[in-house]
Amino acid sequence: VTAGPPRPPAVGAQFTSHHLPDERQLFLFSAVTWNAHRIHYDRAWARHEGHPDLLVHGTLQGGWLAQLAASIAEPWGRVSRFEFRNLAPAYVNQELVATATVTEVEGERVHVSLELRGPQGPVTTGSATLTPDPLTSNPLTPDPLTSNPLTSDALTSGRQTSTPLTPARDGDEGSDA
Amino acid sequence: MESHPMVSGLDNRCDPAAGGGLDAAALSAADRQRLTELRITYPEVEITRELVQRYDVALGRADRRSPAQTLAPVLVYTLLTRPPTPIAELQPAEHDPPTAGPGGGRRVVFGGLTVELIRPVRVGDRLRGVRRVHSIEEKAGRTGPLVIVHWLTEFVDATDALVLRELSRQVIR
Repeated sequence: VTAGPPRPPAVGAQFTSHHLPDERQLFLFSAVTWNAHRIHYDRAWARHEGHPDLLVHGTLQGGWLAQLAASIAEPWGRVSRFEFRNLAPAYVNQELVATATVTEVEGERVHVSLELRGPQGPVTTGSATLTPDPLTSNPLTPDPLTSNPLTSDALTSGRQTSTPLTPARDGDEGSDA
Repeated sequence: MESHPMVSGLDNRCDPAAGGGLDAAALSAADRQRLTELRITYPEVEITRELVQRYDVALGRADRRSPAQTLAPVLVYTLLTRPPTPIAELQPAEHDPPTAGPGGGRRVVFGGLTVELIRPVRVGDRLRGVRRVHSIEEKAGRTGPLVIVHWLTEFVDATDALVLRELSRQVIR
């Protein structure tokens, strides 16, 4: 995971992480999440269900996107909202690249779009909202070298906000991941 | 400490192990009622450094967190929502009993989630939670009729303060 900036990033900033899940990682993730679904560790069963190989857990993919978002925020803040949706299966031993793009800076909140791409295209999308963490030891000041519209005043408050959760948009039929 | 989730409102037609079924095209009023009466409670669990490290390793994180890093991974709470189902009751194609769905040969897939962290989860937190059906949609999908179940899961800390709310989607084909 790319190290995050010491200050909130500007709109347009991008961060990436690379992942190459092998059988051992799928096993460990199944174990730690108590997930017995055989498509993640039993190749014959995965093929029985119509897949060419073992599937990467949807929540592992989501975990990578959340990890990337957290790495951006960690020096100065935290993830206060995160969502992801699996679009297509991802398979073992295929490289997956996670990308986070800062799309909007709204007062003290930074909005990030997230995408995980495999060899055939996007497999998971998501978004996150990053907010200052009052317990962080780093000053919450914006990077003066960017055109980030954040202001120091907006970032020095540790105010936490809560917005209603709403169901994801229609049209998604889910993923076996 | 009791570590098994407590489920109420779950009868054998909704128990994936029992293989009970929903109507092929849509939910009956009885099925809908059964789902909406489900309440799954997750007993209090401490977010330990070891739990976080195991999750970090499973995510592929190569370095160890320093003791000063107390922020837990965003999705660490998902480790608390998997019931330790006895092996004999596990279904090969189902992965999240008892919310795995109705069984009866219908395919159940995970449709993503949204989580709002009212405050960050930190090492040392003691969390307990409740999951229930938030809403149910029936719609026509590309491959036939779909039922989309939205599950609302909330975790509170040892002082009963809300820590996080998750809305997840389960698609039943």
